[in-house]
Amino acid sequence: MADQPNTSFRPSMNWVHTWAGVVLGALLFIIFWMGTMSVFDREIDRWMQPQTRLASPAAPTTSYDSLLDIARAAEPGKQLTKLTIGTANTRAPFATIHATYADKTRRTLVVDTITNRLIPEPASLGGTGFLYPMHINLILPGVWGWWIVMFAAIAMLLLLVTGVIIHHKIFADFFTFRPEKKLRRSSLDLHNLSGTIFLPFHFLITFSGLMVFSGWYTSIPWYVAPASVGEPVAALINEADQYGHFRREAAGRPGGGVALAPLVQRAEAIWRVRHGTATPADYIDIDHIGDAQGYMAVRGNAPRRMVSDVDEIVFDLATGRIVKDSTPTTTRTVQKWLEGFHLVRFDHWLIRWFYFIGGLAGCLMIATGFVFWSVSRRKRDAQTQPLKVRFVEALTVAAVSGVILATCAYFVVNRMIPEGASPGGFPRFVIEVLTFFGAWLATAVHAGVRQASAWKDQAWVIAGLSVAAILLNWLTTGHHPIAAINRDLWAIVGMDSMLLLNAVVAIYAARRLGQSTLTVGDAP
Amino acid sequence: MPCRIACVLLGGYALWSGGAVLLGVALRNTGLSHTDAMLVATMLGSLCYVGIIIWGFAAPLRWRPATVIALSGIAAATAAAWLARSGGA
Repeated sequence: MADQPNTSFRPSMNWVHTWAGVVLGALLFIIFWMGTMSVFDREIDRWMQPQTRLASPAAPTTSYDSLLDIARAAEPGKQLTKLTIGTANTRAPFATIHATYADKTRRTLVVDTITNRLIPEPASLGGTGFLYPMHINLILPGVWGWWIVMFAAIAMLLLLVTGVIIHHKIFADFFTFRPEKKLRRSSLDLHNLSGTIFLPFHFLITFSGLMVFSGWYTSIPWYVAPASVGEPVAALINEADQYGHFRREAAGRPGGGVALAPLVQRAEAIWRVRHGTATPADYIDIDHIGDAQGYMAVRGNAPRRMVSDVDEIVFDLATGRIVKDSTPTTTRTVQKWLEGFHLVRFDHWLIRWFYFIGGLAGCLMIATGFVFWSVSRRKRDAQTQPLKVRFVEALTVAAVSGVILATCAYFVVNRMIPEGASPGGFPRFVIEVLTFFGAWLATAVHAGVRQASAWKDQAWVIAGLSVAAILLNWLTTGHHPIAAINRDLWAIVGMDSMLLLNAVVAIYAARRLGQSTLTVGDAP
Repeated sequence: MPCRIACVLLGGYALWSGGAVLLGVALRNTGLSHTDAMLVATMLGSLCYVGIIIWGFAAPLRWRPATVIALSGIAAATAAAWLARSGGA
C-alpha cells in the first residue's frame, strides 16, 4: 500500500484507508468487540451474577406499591424522596430500584418480582457495568472517552466509504475466500468478505452509534453556545421537557398517596391503543415522594418496535391526573429509531443474534485488515526498521487477541472469586476489572517479546480460558449446560455455548497460525 | 504533511460543528423546533464530515483543499459563535 497519498483518487483513498485503519484499528476493534459483547450484556450479567439467575416471569407480577415499601424498609427511619424502577423483563427477570432518601443516601436494590424478596446486590459489574461502558466511552474520566469514541465512529465511516472506493471488484469479494492460500492473501480475502457482506449493517450501526450521543459532541450548537447568553438555555430546557425530561420543584407540604399500579396500567393501556401493540412500562421515575408536588414518569418500550423510549406519561401523584403525555415529532422519532437500532432494546432473539454475528464480522474485518497490513510490512521492514515492526506487531496482537483474552480472563476471575469474598480487601468488581487490564497489558508485553508467534500462543490461552470459564461456572453454580436448559436459564446456555465456540475457533486459529505461515518470509 | 492532516480533520470538525449551527438556525427559521432542527443538522453534518475528509485527502493531499477546509471551518465556527452570542442560535 502507498506510503504517500498518490496523485489520483483511488490511490489517495487507499492511503487514507490504510493509515486510518492502522492508526485507529486497535481502538475500533476494542469498540466493536465490546459492542458485540454488549448485544448480550444482560445475559452476561446473569452469568456473572448468579444470584440474578431467576426464572423469567410469565407475566408482570410486580406490585409497584410494594417496591415502594421495600425501598422504605431498606433504610428504616429515613424519608424516601426519589425512586427509579427498572422493571422486570425476559432478559432481566428482576426489578432494579435506585432509591434516594432525604439525607441524600442512595441505595440500589434488586428485587425478585415473583416473590417480592430482595436479592443480594451483585458485587460484579458484569456486562452492563463494564463491557458496555467500555464500548460507549472506554470508561475514561470526563468527556474524553465520548469524544474519542465519536472520532473513532467518524473514522469507521471513513474506512467504510474509502474501502468501497478502493475495491475494483466489490461484487467478486462476496464470493472470494481462499483459506488454502498464504496468510496474507487469505486474510485479505476475509477482510473483503466480512466487509462487503455486512457493509450495510456496519454503516448503519456506526452511523446510528454516532447519532445516539449526538448531544455530546455537538456541544457547540446544543449547549455551550446557548449557555453563553442565558435565555436560550431556558428555551432549550422547555423543549427538553417536551422530549421526556419533566421536572418540577417540591411544594414542601405533604401530599401524594395515589396507588401506583393503576397509573402504570393506565399508561400501558394508552400506549396499546396508540401503537396497536402491547407496550409495557420499562422505566418508572417517582420524584418528590410524599410531597404535594410528587409525580411519577412512566416510560414504555414496545418489545417489537425498533423506536426506543419515545413514550412517556407523567402522572400527578396527588390527583392521579396526567400532567404530561409526550408525542414525539417526526424528527425525534427518526433519531429514536436510530437510537433503538443501535441500542437493541427491542425483544427479538433472531435479530439480536444477527447483531451479534454482524458485530463479530466487524471484529473479523478489523482484525484481518490488521493481519494483512502487518504481514505485508513485516517482510519489507523487518531488516530496516525492526523496532517499528516489533511495536506494530505488539499493538496489533494486543488490540485483537489481547482484548479477547482479557475478556475471557475477566469471566474466569469472576467465577474464581467466591460469593461475598473481597480478596485483599478489594471489592470483587475491582479485582475483576484489574484482572482485565492486567491480562491485557500482559498480552502486549508478550506480543512485544514473541512477535508473530504471540498470535498462536494467545489463541491457545484464549481456548484454555474459555473452557475454564465453562467448567468454573459449572463447579461454582451447578449450572452446567444441561442443568441450565432444564431450568430454562437460556442466558447461561447461550453464554456457555459462545464460550465453547470461542474455544473451538481459538484452537482452529492457533493450529492455522502455527502452520508457519506467519513468518517473516511470508509473501503473496 | 501533519499540518495538512490537522487542517483537514480539525477544520472539517469546525465546519461540521459550526455548519450544524448555521444549518440548524436556517431550518428553525423554516418552522422546525430548535431541537428538531439541530437533530437534522447533526445527522446531515456527520455524513458531510466524512465527505469533507474524503475530499481533503482525495486528490492529492495538497495545501489547496486543506486550506479551503480550514478557512471554511474557521468561518463557520465564527459565524456560529457570533449567532450564539447575539442570541440568534
